[in-house]
Amino acid sequence: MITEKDFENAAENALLYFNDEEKERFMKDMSSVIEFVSVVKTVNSDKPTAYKPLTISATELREDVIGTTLPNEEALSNADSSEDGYFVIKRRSKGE
Amino acid sequence: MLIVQKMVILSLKGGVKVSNILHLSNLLAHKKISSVELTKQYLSAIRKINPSINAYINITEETAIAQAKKADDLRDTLGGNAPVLLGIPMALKDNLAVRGLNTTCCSKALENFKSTYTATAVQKLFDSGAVLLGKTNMDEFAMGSYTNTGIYGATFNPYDTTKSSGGSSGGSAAAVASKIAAYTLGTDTAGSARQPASFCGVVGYKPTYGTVSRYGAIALASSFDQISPIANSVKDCAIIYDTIKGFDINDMTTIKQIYAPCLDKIDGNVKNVKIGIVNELFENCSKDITDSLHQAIEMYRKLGAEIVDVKVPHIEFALPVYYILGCAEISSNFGRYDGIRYGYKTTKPYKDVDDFIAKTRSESFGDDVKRRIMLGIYFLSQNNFNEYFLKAIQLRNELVSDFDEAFKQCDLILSPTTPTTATSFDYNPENVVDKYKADICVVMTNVCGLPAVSIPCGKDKLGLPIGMQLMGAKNSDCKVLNAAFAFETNSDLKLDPGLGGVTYDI
Amino acid sequence: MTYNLVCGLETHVELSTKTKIFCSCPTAFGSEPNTNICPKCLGEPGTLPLVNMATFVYAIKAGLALNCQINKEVSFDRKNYTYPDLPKAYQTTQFVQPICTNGYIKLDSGKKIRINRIHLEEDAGKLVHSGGNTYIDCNRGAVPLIEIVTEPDISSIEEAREYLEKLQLNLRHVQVSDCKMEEGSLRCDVNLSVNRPGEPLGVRSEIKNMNSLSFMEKAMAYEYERHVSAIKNNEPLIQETRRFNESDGSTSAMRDKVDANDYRYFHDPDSPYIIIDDNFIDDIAKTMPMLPEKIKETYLEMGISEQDANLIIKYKKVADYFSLAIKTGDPKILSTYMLGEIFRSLETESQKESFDILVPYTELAELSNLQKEGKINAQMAKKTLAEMLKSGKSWKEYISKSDMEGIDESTLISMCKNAINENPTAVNDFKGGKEKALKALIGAVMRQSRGKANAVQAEQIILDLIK
Repeated sequence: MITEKDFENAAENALLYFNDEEKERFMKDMSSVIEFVSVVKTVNSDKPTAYKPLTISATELREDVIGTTLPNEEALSNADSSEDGYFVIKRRSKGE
Repeated sequence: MLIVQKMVILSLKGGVKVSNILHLSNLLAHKKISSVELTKQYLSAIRKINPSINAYINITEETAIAQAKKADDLRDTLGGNAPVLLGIPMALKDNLAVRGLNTTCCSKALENFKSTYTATAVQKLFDSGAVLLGKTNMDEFAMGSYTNTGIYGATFNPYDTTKSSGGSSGGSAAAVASKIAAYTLGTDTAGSARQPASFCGVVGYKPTYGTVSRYGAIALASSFDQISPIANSVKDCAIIYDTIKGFDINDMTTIKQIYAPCLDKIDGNVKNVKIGIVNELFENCSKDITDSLHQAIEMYRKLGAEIVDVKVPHIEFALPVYYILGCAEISSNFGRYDGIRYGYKTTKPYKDVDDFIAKTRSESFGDDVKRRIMLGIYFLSQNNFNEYFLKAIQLRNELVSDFDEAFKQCDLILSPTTPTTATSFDYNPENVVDKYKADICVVMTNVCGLPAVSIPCGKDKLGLPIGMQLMGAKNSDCKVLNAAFAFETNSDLKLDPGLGGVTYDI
Repeated sequence: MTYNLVCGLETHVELSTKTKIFCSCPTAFGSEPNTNICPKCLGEPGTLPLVNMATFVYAIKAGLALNCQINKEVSFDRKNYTYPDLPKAYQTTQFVQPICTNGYIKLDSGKKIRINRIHLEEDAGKLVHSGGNTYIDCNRGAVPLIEIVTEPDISSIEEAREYLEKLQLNLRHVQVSDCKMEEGSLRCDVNLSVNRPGEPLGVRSEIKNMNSLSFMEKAMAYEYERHVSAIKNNEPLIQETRRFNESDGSTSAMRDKVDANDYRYFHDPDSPYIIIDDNFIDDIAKTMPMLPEKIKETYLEMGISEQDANLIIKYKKVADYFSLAIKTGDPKILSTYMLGEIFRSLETESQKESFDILVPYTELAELSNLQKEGKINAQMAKKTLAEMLKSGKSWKEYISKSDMEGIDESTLISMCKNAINENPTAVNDFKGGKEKALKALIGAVMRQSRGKANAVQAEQIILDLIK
């Protein structure tokens, strides 16, 4: 069962807000999942704690050659607000 | 004692052949039809059929016609050297980036987002002359198995529109099944291409992890995601795979190795191929499904394959491992959606930047997305990291070993793709874990990075398609496809949802 | 009673590779905002990292220069937190498998400051706060950094300064960074605690935001006093991050949410594990220049003073040039040229670093040999060098054969006699106790000889004659 403290901690780190109804629902659902996966705690394994599907040599890394950059306008095109080439975020909205 | 299942063969006026890429390519090569004409046929079929199934959420008509024109011009120049895919219309799941087009992942978070680059796999298709008809529906950010959580509504199963197309690549599978795309690309993170293929009676193929670039596939769980061809036949999937596979400098998880074409190796010969059966995967399946699978097993015996029992000792941990590690990766991959550089932005007043971001995220994500992010953070947090996350990694390595051992006893493992045929389109069980448990057969190959294909092998009493899965060892993609083809070419299963669509009975 | 200062430094150094660590965007400084960016460093959905080999080469060079062990297998981890300058909401760094470990810097006293690790990571973008808005420029995002972390071996402010200066010196010599605190290519965080001798370690505070060595010293001094005062008065100290305030040299607590975060480190699934084999390291080791400590040793062996040697090795290009010149020229004389006329002509630090002089080292070496052989005197050499620096012409344009002939002793004696005869006032002044008057007499000899006379010899002759 997920504790309220853990839930709130996760919400803070996830930067998500939940109202009371949602909190109850999510805590219930999360607890189900946590219970379901907790079976992993019952097993001991001496396998490594790193999963390495691919290992390469440092010689295969990319050369230090300048590639194509994105034009400023295209980079900003998906942002709601931009100014003088910068992405902008108002630190506090009007009326707050 | 096997009960022979009745094979229902649909016949429609004019007769229907299963469309496949090679046939279309042939028609185009012999100028029986132009790419523009073919594309227009598809667009017209989409307009007619899509409203009832909601497979497409974005129809790129202008792009399609322009690409088709180019393809026709190019064919004149290239003649006999034209790539097989030249001029053939297809669709892409809406989590695959195309420069200048919206890539929404069917989420409010990216509803108006235009990609500034094209996914490598997609670019390879474009370079071979593919024509893009549009983007297909999916579960929000590919989280789900029923294509019913996205902002554009559910996709309905072409065989019964009260049923689900499966998910999260439901739109892609439904489009192929109803013949309003010659083929599609979906993605498969825990069966999301194979399961909808199974529900919709088409072929869904998840390649070996690292053989297809993920660059441009909006990340869900990075070490599980794979771009997957969904098409009407095994050879179609092979052709698409051959085109999109390969090392990509833009994806460091792709393998640098020789990539020989699979199509050449597909001859349907499975003599002496050892097919493994993992009994646990047949538990909890409906009777129609187990019967159909047993028939398929018989077919393989007749074709000269040897059937053996194999064990995957840690099989019960596959789903928990996926949920722990997958959610962890999701929670990290999704931190970037803060509305500042792209994406949905809250219009509510806010007191500081964190408040802005939290409001934005809370308004732009659906429940499934939020739940997985929260779970991921939970499993990664200091208190839980060792017990859950690191343990899950160890078990992942155990499963990899299990399969290494299993593939010493056999060449391929055969199983049902799903324990049931298509559920109702709004399927949403009270306990979320019940939703997850249905992925038991498909998730293992994502956990271990193995190739797996789902092909239709029968129908249930209601006429809904049944899918069979073949999985292989790492890099045995050609073997897997070949065995699938062996069944397909020897089976007289005929499936058609009867909605019309583009056939080439010309 | 003295209190123990226990300090460790975490230094972030920007690597001067051409492109960023995870994409091919240029690292060039000072461009228009958001012009050195691409979908990858913008964190656009669906993008993946592409590791730059040069970052490994540079990090290994740094590791070798700092006596580190280079690790055979490295990997990248994600450090997850949210901040507007971090597009992906995680920084790709090395937590579990850093590229280098177990190095040290040896101070002049012989004490080793141990280096725990050097790891690669990406920089964040730049934020500008103005008028209630935050402006974000992603140009700096994904610029490669190495983070160099020491053990808490530093016991004084002087040691901290020396460590940092030696760090800068070494990294500049192997050319992995220009290490400029003022420009932000070197950033240092100080971890400091204080305890009474014999007692356990005190509470640690971390100080950030010092962009010069002297600010760092000020911050350490302030923080030391603050800790001492708290201990004396039995006041509690909390483990926290503090910001240095330039205005008054104080430190104040940073109320940063980032502190409280659990970074949820885990291996970045988008990059593979990377093997560094011995050949890779050896190839890099072969290209390493001589390190500053070794260079200094060779200068000292040649009779150059420690002070002069330190000034020369401070700038790599100066040292490179000097090292070539001393192969054929006279080391001591060359060092006077270098630290005299040449440094005078390069007024700023920046000019000394780029060392753009018109005089080839061969010319300088030849000039020093002329002086050594007595063919010209120091003054003539100095004058000639000044001209050479301006024009880039050879010394041959300024010193003729006859100039080199010098003055024989009898001519010199007669010149001295002339000087004495023509300057009776000076002679009397000198006899009367004014030492300086001697200079006037020597000056007169120099004028007669058009600068060719040996001033030291002339002085001796004049003294003899006067007596």
